[in-house]
Amino acid sequence: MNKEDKMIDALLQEHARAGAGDDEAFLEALEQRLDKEDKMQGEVSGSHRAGNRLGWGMGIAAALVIAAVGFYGWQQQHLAEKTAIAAHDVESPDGRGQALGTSAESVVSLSARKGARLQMSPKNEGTLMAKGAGIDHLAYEPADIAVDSAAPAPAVVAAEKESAEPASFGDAVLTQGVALSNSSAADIADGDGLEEIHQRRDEKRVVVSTREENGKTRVTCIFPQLKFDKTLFAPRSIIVKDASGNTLPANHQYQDPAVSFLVADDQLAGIVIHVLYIDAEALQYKPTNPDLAIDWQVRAKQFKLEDFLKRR
Amino acid sequence: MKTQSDSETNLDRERGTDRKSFAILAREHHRGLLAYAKALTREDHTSRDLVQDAFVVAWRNLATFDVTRDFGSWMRGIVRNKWRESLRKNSREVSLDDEVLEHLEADARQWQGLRDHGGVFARLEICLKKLPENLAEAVKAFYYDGYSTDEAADVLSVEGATLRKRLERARGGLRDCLQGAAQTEV
Repeated sequence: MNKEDKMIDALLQEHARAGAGDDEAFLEALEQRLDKEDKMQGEVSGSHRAGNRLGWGMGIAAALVIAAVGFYGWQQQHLAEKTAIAAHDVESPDGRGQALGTSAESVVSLSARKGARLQMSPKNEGTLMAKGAGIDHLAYEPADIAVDSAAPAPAVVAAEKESAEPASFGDAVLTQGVALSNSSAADIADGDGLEEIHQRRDEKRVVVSTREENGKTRVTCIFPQLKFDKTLFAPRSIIVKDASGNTLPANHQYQDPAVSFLVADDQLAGIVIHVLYIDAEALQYKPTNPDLAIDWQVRAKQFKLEDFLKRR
Repeated sequence: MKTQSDSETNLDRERGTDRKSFAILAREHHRGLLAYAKALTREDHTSRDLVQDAFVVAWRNLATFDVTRDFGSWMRGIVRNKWRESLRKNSREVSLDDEVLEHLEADARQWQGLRDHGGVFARLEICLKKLPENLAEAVKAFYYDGYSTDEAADVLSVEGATLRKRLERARGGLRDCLQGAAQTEV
């Protein structure tokens, strides 16, 4: 048979079988199958709805359990790390730790590992990491300053997606690249003795310089990178507060370890500087899988300016 | 060529309305699809099962059907897929090459356009009446009386080769007749 004749051959066979009319038996059988199909679909979607309700219930219960376990774990870790940091600072054998040691008692230590995870989606985390050192939207709400408090409240750390809004750090606002005015930038870059300050920087020493400016004191602090549990932390955000807890205008460029601010002499003793440290190595890590959750940490520390001034 | 019926354009995403439209479409297309499936499978029962399955698949996936496209072509695609699937399940070689499939599709698409004027089978009856007597006898003996070619040759008192030649000429004439009718409909 010719290739082109196959369809007419089949058409003749079909016509011979059932003539020119409809195949009612076929259509009836088809109707029954479609009815069954509809019925099955209805049952499936019904069971899905029931399954959804059950799933929601189980999901909520699981979330509550996870939240409870997570909170307990966070509490335990928080206490352990606070102790570890204090011990590290006090036990610093080379004496340099004393610079921090004085402040160590007032350090609010925070591992943001859990807090951040709770508040960040894996996607955000991936984006965050992919930006590497360019993390510039890490918002942080420090607890009330309780320098001498034995158990300061933990800070809450939250990372946000890219936003035009400046990152908030406590009740201060870091206006990256804006707050660092030309004059203060010059202070840091060209100020007297600054070269010397930079030369004196080391890993565990906060470098402080002061100079008179318009009847007030211009304070410049450079914060070192810190190592906790073999993890290197780099300063990212810095906030300066007075004794009343009010945020003072400070010139600080995000990711810059230096901060510069102007205060009256009688305010110097009450100044507390909040520094948000970020796991420096984690920020350099660029995951190939954006959904990959990166283990990173944030630590917040508070320093009393008075402690730095005393040791000068 | 008109290939889209009101039922196709009336297909509604709302299930109740769909079912009515779908039933109309099934009625319009089932015979042509059965013939198409028979061309693929060469078996009555298999072709009926194939078309039934194809309609169920189409019903399940009605939401994916683009109402601006030809329902018959869509259905033939499903029938082809079901046929290939059954061949794989039965570990059989695909017995029709692409050229044959193209011929089948071309004929089916063309004849589908005849449905608004009594359908391809009604047209076939007209065309059969136009065949020369010797060719019509051969077609009747082989297709409608159910004889094999040798039996039909005996009944008609001709050589087997002669009968096969007559059948071939008859099929060619019928194809031309249907094609002419389809082109006239356009």
